[in-house]
Amino acid sequence: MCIVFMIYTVLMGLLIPLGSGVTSVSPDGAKVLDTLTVKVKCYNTHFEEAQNSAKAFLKNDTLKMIVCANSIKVLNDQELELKFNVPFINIKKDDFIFVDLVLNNDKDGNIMQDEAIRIDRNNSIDSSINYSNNSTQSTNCADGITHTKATYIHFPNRAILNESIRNLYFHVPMWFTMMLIISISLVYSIKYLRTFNLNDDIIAVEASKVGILFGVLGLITGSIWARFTWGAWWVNDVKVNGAAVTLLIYFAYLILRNSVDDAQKRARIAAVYSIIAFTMLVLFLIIFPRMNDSLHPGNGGNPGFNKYDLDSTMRMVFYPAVIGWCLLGIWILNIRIRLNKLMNQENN
Amino acid sequence: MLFKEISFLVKKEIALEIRQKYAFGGLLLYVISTVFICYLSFKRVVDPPVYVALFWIILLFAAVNAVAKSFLSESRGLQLYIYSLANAEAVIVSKIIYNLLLMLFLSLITIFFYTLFLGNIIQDMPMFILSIILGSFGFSSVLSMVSAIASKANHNVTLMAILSFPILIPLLMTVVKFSKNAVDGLDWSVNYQYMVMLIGLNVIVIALAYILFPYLWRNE
Repeated sequence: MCIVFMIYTVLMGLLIPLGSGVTSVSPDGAKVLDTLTVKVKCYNTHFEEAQNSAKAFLKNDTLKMIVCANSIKVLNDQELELKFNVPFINIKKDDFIFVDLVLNNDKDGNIMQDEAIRIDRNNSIDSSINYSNNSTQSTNCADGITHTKATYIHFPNRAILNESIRNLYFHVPMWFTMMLIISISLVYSIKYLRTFNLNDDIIAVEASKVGILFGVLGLITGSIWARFTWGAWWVNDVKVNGAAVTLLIYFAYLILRNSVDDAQKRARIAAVYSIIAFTMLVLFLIIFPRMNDSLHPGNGGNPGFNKYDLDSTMRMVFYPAVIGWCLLGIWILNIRIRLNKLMNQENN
Repeated sequence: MLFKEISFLVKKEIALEIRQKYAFGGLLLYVISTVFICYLSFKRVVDPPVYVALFWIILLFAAVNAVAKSFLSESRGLQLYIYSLANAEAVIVSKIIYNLLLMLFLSLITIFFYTLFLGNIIQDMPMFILSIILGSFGFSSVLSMVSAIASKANHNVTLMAILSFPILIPLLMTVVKFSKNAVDGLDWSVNYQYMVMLIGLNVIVIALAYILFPYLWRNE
């Protein structure tokens, strides 16, 4: 069961292509009434395949303005050359507006690049002449669009995140698993203090070892993700530092265990320290990030993943991924507990 | 009954301390010489973050040294004797109270020499003293508990540092922010959240110590 979920996660998580997105637009500035030739580079698009249905326009929602491309030249699957006539827009001196670029074809659906092109005032134009009639050229090319969504399964293409959005299926479930397994460790530590049964102690220590494993993996995947989104392997973030300190506490727990020889005594001391360690974990990973700003989604005014990034395609992989990782953790834990019990029997 | 035991145990600790003056004298000398080394290497510290961080680092190591001996220095025979006479809860509470008094005394002496040598840039002294009191309270409760754990694990002093430093980090982070605000002379209302947090942390640690210490004490 666990293996099925894991294989599903890895296959789907890594194989489903990313949706289309714009990587670069050049030039990205223009003046009023220019004839603008833009070269657009895109990612994961199928321009050649859907050449006949290609459309492109500039739009600005506040001005309710749509400017269609005069000509669209497909250079290859990823590159387009577009020509626009920039209409007259009344822009004050030293002011400018941004327009969004929208590309559309029947295969990729809508591809949006927000604030793609900046339009400045053109000082060579005599502002006394009234151009305002020209701007209302409403041959609206946006009306003919039939496919606003892509026709194939894909993950959302987000600026900055890009392909690394797949890490969601590894980084996030690892921390869920870590929390689950460390909670098991806490429960069995408390249970040991009530019963003084050494089997509970074995479960508690093995659970904290597996929890540490997932914590370290979560830290590594998080570090890789941070490198490609925030720009550094290690960032000064409450959650990151909290996670590191929590791992230090649990390493200290293992060292504490190794320093005592007598099994009952070791179990008792370790159980006491494990309860303290879990309290600190709650403080570091749950309470502190809510009191301070964090770079993580959902903290410090950043939108959470649920808001708009986690669309139905991502959910389809994310929920099985969580279940799969948790089951994998419990499986490893189960094997380690059985191994330990067998070793104990052999020693006796 | 419990209060009587606690007050008796605290009195016992103080009497022992007065009888063995060298231990406390050693601590004092430790603090003063550290401050003096800082003075020789820094001359004057004018940057508030550095000023506060240096102060708390000095105090942290003094605290670890001071509180470590609370359980580590007791022989097994003495522990057994106390065990037969007093409640486990009374023992840990009395240790925390005694260590708090020790820490308060130590930190007030430290702040005296610290401002004397490195210059006084603290703008709000009462708030700084309050941060010291709350910080000492946290140090004494965390370190008493960890010292009890370490004493059960073969009286290992390195273990004491390994176990206590990660646990002290939330406390240190809060108290450093708090006392930096005091150095900057910010308004009291800014610091309410830090005060509440420090008190909350202390309550959590003391509650944990109160509940968990009997399990440690009972073994042997």
